[in-house]
Amino acid sequence: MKNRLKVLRAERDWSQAELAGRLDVSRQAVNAIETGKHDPSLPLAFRIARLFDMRIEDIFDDGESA
Amino acid sequence: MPYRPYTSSESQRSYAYKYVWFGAACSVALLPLYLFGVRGPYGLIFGGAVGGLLASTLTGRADDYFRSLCANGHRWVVFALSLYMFAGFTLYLFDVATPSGHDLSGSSEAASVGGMALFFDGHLVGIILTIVYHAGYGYQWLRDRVGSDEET
Repeated sequence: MKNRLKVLRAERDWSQAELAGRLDVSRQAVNAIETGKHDPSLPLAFRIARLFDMRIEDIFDDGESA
Repeated sequence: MPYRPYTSSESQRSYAYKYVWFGAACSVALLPLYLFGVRGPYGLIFGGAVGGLLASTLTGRADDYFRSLCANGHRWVVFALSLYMFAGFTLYLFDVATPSGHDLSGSSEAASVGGMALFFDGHLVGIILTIVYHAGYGYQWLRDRVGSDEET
């Protein structure tokens, strides 16, 4: 699934490790999500959305939205 | 980054990944030790392999990416187990020493092909399935890193 996580992280000048710390996941998890290799669970998607103060669908794109 | 009490460090968050890699190394080392009957370090390495397997199931504090890697390893194990069981079934069916094999052969002479003996070593099967688990985990881990620009 495509997502804007890398862009949002770069806008805040956070490293992957720093974002991982804020989300309480491993750096490897952040990397896998950023590259679209891993889709986060719903609770983690909500945590990401809350962290960036955005809606989930504004961060993640499942290719179905118009 | 502001100070936040009770926040776990990267090392604490990624401890499960380390356990699995340690378990992978132990399980790969275990196979030749078992096959060649080396007994000295066997117990310790066996314990390490078991630890790696347990880390994949006791995932209470691990993140969901780790769980997805483990799930791939588990899928590989179930697939390997299915192949193993199917092979056992086939051997059983054509082993004239078993009732169904004997009936199928239509022979009155019971002569075992001896194939079933290969499947009696449960310890060896366990070691191989442990390696298969780590292979599945490692395959997914490597695949996720191809083309990624992971920061170190």
